[in-house]
Amino acid sequence: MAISRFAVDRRTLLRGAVGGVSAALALPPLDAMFNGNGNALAAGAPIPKRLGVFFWGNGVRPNYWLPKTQGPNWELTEELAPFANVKPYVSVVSGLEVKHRGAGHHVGRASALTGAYDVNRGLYGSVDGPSIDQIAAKAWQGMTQFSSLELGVSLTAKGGGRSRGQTAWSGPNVALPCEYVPKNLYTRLFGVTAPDQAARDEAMRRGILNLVSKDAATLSARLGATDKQRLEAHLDGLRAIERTLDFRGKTTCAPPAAPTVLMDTLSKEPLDERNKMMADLLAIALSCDMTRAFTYQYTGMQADTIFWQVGATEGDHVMTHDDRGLATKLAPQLENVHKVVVYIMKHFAYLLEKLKSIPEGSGNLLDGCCIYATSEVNDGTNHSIADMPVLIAGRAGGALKSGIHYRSPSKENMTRALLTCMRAVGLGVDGFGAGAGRDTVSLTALMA
Amino acid sequence: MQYPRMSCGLLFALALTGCEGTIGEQVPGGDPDQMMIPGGQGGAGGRSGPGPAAKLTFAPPMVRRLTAQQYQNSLRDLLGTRITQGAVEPDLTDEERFSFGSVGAGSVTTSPRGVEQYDASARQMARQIFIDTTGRRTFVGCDPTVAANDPCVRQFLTTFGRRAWRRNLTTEELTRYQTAIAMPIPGGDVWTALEMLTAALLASPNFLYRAELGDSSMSDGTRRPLTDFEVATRLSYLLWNSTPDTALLDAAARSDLSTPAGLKTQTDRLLASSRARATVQAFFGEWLGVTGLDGLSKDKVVYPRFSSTLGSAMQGEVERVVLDLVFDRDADFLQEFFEGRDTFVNAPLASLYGLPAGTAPPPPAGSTTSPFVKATLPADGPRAGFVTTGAFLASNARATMTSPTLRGLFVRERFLCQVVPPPPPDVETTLPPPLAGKVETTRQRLDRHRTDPVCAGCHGLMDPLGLPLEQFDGIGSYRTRESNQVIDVSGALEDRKFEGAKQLGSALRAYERTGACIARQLYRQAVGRIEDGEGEGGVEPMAGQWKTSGYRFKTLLSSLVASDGFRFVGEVK
Repeated sequence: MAISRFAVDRRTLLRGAVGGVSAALALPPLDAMFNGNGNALAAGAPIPKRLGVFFWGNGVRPNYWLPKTQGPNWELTEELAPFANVKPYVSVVSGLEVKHRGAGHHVGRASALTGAYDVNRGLYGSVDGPSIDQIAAKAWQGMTQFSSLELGVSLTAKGGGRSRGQTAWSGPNVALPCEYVPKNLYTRLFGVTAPDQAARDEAMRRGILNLVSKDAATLSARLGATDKQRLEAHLDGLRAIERTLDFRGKTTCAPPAAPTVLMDTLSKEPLDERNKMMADLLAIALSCDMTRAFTYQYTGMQADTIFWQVGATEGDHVMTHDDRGLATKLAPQLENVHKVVVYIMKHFAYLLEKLKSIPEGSGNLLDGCCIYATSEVNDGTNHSIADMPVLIAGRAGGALKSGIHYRSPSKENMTRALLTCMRAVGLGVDGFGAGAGRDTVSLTALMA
Repeated sequence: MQYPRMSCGLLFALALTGCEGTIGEQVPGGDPDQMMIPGGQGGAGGRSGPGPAAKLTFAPPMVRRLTAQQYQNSLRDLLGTRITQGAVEPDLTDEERFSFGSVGAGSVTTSPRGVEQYDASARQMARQIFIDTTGRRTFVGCDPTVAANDPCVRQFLTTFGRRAWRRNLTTEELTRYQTAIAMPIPGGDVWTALEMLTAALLASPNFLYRAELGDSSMSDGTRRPLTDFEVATRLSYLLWNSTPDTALLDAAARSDLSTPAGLKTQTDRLLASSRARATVQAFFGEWLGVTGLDGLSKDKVVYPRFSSTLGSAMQGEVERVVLDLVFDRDADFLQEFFEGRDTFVNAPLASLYGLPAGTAPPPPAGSTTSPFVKATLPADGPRAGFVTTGAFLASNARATMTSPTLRGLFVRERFLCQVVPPPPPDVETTLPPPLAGKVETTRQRLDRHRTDPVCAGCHGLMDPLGLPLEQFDGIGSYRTRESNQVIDVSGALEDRKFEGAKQLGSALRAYERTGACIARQLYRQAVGRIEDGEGEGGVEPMAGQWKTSGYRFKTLLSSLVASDGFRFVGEVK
């Protein structure tokens, strides 16, 4: 492993700073480069803002989720209790409504992530635009080694198959699959070549990219409009590889210990372990400024993850539609759905606490983030898409008034939460979404 | 994936009207044969028999990404099994509605991460080849030098390039790749340069995507023939799910595939291989949803006898039956598939089916795997044909109970090629609990569910095809009573009324749509798209030939390959 001299220096420096406790922190931010006030990089550029999406499937049990109190004193309901340690960083947003109309889970997912849903494409309609992490990725492209990261925790999709990751979208109906294997993510972030091979390796890689890019361009020129777009996307992918090569050797991060290999089974997923590994790696990637945009798909839409950890023996989506029809048995099933929500929120809280634990400037990493968290429905049992469950975590470098419960008095458009997060991190968007989901207004109550 | 456009307009209408409809209602621009219009009496909007022939159209030129399995198979054939491949992006399949992986491959866009994976995998494979100083000489086939126009490098690019890209490289491509060998690589030599070229050939879109663009110079204004290499590729992935072998590429190079006799020779050669058996079996697995049944989840309290072992036994039965029907017996497919009693069982399955003890042997000493044996189901028993298999019955049921709706939906989609709209949003899809103090059957609860007009329309299309199967519980075990009541197994397929599972099978066998639908499913798989209307690809005339052959499935495969729909594409739109 090649560890740059600079990285070693920074590690030493950090040990001094926090009294040797840093071993577990892997490698924190660019503190050596901050100015004296801790609010900007020494060179004068502000501390980067980050935008993330946290998604989970099948909604919540609304009665256990929604706080009764609005404003800063909202109470930790059963499903929000896991956020006790980061409550000042978490805003609960309620009363927002999906404005599109369409099929079950699908309309909610499209609206909650992209504000755009095409009811006429495919049987269930489809996502019709990019998700907000990809808006950020595009706006910030070239500033970091990776434009965005898409991570998944549970491998299970609806019906017990394997999830392909359908939370990050680069455009209409084009989903970006998630990485589910911590070891693979690790290799992608920190995989390095032996120093004596580096020059040879880079020359070969660039040579391959040159040949393949020309092949892609030649093929693209022969295609009709639709397929041309597909090949252009492939070319974009090749350019992204070139950019990561450009960043080679410039990263100031020392690699943490490699994660262990986890069981790849669907029947008993090691969710505690995988969530911890993914959250830890993401935190390092953000703190080292390897990326500024991410999607964290805990479970996908309609996921049938079997949460054996809470005693469930059936898939989560199946449980929300339990129809054995025995009134005496129905309640325990939904009790399990509730336990699953609590379990997922604990894992989300772990990520937030991790980010909060990493100092950056005069604050911490979570201070600089806006993380938008939601699901595709409010109540999975009836697919309701009014009063969607939304959390906005982080302070976006002071742009967000965090830690409040804002309840919309007027069933405002879900898209406004998306606009709020994007604007908080400084993306100049006039509006977002399409059709009924389109909006231009953000939630001013959340802005500092 | 894209469904026929008309299904979608209706979806919106349904979202507004709540899934109500009137019999025979037409959707503007829609094809009534494929879109089901919910009606009060299970009426379909489509015709029930053959009507005037639809206008023949062709699939447009397209590029299809190799499916993950095709990627794996192709590289195995190109490089051998000792070369380890990297992980690649998963296939695009509809998240919950049935379609073939090959259809998703025709529209998928590769993500940046996916491109990265292809790049990494190609480099990883090339590394393994060229780090072996003996093996690399064998792989390249001669001793290369960095000299401009080195004949060995030229020969390697020509031969390996043709295998990898499934066509001859153009002069421009050969020159460009050969020139790249002179690129300086610190610490590298000619072998390093060849490693780079090999990785590039395998990371190239020309390997990763199958271009089916046709020869535009031969266009008649509405359609153009695929080139011989494109036909070879389509044929090879259809029957072997892998890249064409050298013999097939040689046949393409000789233009053999442009003649009916030449095409038939190659088709027969590929069909005779064991690879065709595996590929045809995989087609059935996808079409019939019979994959991964060892992972099927059932409630342990309600169905204590269900296990992963029983799930894989169910899958094993169907896999063996289709191979037997198609290859070993070359039987009347419709008759045997829907009404046949010849099957294969192992001990757990024989027990589920209530066959006499000793029908299948126990696992041999030291093994837990119970072997399959041929068996004939009793003529006076409740079972015959696919709709009475454990595989179908258990996978189209819920964890705790049957689902006549899911079973009926499956029949509509898979055997009749019809699309039923999903439930509109904000609708309670859970069946109502039994009335207080009453014990109800699933049919009775469904009946009450259907009193809601929002639900009645669509359920009327599905439930009458699933209710005849109610004598089989959620894992396919036979029963005559539910909730202490005799089970009512009446059902209907359009106007034809019947009783029970075996009569449902007979009704499906006799129904005009069924044979044509199976031909259409095969066409979708082969061409990688859902058709735009029934005229596309000339599937109906092909289904007619199939009928004439007495529904021999191998004949259907040969007819498909010989058809214009397989050998031509339309014009670029």
